[in-house]
Amino acid sequence: MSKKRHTRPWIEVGREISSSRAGILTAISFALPLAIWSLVSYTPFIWHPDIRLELPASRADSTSVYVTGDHVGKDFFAEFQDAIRAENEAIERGETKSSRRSNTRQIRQVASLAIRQGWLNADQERDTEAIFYIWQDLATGERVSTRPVLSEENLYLVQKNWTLLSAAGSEYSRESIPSTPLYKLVPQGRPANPDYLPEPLAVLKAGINAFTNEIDEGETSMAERTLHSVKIVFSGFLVSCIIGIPLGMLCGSISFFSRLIEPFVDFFRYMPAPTFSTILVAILLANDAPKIAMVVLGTLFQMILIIAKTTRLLDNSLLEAAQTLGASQKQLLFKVIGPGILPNLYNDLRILLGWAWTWLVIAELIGVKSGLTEFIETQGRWRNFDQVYPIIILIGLIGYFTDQFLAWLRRPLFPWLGEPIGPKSRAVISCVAYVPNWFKDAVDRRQPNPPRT
Amino acid sequence: MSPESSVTKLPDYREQSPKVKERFERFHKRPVVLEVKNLGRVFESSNGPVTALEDVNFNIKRREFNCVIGPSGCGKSTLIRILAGLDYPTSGQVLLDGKPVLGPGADRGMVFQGYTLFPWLTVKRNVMFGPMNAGESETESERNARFWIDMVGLSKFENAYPYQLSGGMKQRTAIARALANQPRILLMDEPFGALDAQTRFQMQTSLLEIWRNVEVTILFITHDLEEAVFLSDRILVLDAHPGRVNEMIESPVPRPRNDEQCVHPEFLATKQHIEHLIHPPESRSDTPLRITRMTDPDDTVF
Ligand SMILES: Nc1ncnc2c1ncn2[C@@H]1O[C@H](COP(=O)(O)OP(=O)(O)OP(=O)(O)O)[C@@H](O)[C@H]1O
Ligand SMILES: [Mg+2]
Repeated sequence: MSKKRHTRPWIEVGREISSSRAGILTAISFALPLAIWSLVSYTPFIWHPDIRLELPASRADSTSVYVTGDHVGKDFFAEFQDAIRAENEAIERGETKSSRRSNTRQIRQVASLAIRQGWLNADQERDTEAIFYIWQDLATGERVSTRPVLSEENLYLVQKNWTLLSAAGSEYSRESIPSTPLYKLVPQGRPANPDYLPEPLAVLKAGINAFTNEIDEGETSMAERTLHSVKIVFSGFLVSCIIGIPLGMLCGSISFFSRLIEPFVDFFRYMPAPTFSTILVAILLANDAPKIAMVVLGTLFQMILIIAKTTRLLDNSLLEAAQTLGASQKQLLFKVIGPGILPNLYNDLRILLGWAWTWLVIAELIGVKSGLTEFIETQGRWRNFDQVYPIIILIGLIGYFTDQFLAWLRRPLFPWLGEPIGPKSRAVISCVAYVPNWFKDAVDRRQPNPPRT
Repeated sequence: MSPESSVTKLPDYREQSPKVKERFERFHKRPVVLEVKNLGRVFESSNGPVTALEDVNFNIKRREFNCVIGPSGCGKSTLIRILAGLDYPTSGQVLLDGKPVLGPGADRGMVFQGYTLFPWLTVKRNVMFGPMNAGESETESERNARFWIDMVGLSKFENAYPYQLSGGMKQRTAIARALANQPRILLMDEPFGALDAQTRFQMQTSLLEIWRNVEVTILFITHDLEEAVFLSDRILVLDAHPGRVNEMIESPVPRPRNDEQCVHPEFLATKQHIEHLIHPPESRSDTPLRITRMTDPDDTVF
């Protein structure tokens, strides 16, 4: 049974799309970048200009030592492999000198592999005896490495080395380390993207770890950092509002104040707020005060101008009507302009709150670094970009969801606009209405149980 | 029907029936509420000064219903804005009960063509706006608001927001809101201009009914001749460029008014006279439009 329904095209100029379609598009809007990121990360033949090492690598002719997980360029990697092969050939020809000490270092070649496989504990990196038996197991095939799977070439080298190591017996003793040189494993690795583009899963894992990891005494937990950052942004924004809203409304409604205040504000906002950071520290000293002041400096001046403009946009005929009804100047301000601009003011504040967030990073770098920014800074310096991305995304999510929440709240807040209340808004309203009950219940639960009768 | 032939059939618009004459005798004994003296308004524009009003003189009697009519751009809105105190004259003055008008005030209520209800207030709160600002108590002004809302027939909508109202209902609210202040004079600038014919007629009837029962003087701007004749005691006809008083017409149509009067000779005569004043016959162009035929030759619609 086919029911013929009138369906509108998806793409149409100047017409609002249905809410179910809007929902689908919103989902795609987020899924698309994520899909591109995954595609670039997990498809080996797309980009992947680097090799991520799965075995440590060092060269006789260079002081730099690469450990498992390091990134090197593809060309450099091939050249490196050839150099190691050349070194091994030189050993074969007996041209290389060696000592017990340098051989001890060569024995540790498989330590990281063994740790990754779970054969050794992380603190056994220098446990020569334990590593000695790993060589044995690898050579005899007792243990087979899966991460990485050793190449034919390397398995052959492992056996050769084991022959050298077991020359004095397959029991470990200090003397069992030979003085004849050991062969070097040829570096192995997988194609990888540069470290500044970690994979989605790595980022997700790092993000979860950042919030679930046990932290040492005296360290700041990620939740505390987040709270601190939120506090800086909201305090700064609140201070801006307390000063900016009245000033903006005065400028927008009374020419006297507009001419008195706006020219300077207009000039001041072109001076980059970060340039005042040292001055703010000098005035307000360390801790949070200069940070909050930075957010204020960054948002206040724009706020005054934007709110003044919004105030000016209020239909002048409403002011005239109020005047013919006998409203005084003060009543015009509080009874007409105030409520009249409220919905637009609300939207302005949402945008300005977004701006306040953009000042967060600069604010938290002032004086003593703090909050999420400090974490981003340190991890970024160590090139732990997989740690950095979750925090950046977190800041984005907090900002985005605050704004969405406020957007949903708009309709119930301003019933006189006649905007329909959608299911999302209704959900938010019920959540908000639920909070006081939750508090009440929490308080009730803390009361001692009434005696049973 | 050419205008000339109907003129011959119609009486002179100045011929008032004895009843009407007697009404105007009483009318002229009433005190003057609003007096406009040598009023002029010149706007400074980029193309030099524009004289919107020049030497306008007239007065409005207590409980008069006066309509101001004139061609577009003759300064009707400018005049009413000056009366309300929202604009100022560049010469002359306006006296309300003998005292000069210097700014807007609650003694002159105004109803605008655009609906200027406060969108964030319900109908009731809109009506309470003036009295509350004047310091009346909440309960008192609420009771009064109910009374005025009832008078304009919106009792069922007292808690509705303006966006929920039709154009006519919005204008009813605006009237109630202005009346709640009990102004000396109610100024209305084309209040029914945006309404459809049906609603407009209902509004006119209600307005007359309100005016009859409430102690209020009304100055009503319109560009609709029938509306002017139907509503008013006197009609102030303005000329354009510059805006000057052409004539203050005393309507010969008896009261109370009803829709049947719209075809009575005195009604038609007054209407026709105003028509002539606003659009003089010599100014009308009778040359037909030159239109090239663009349809098929046999595709005739008449
Ligand atoms: N602010 C102003 N600046 C310059 N000229 C103005 C201004 N306001 C009105 N005018 C001019 O004054 C004249 C009268 O304008 P007004 O709006 O009073 O006319 P009106 O009779 O109300 O016209 P309408 O019937 O179209 O409403 C017009 O010529 C107009 O161009
Ligand atoms: Mg006008």
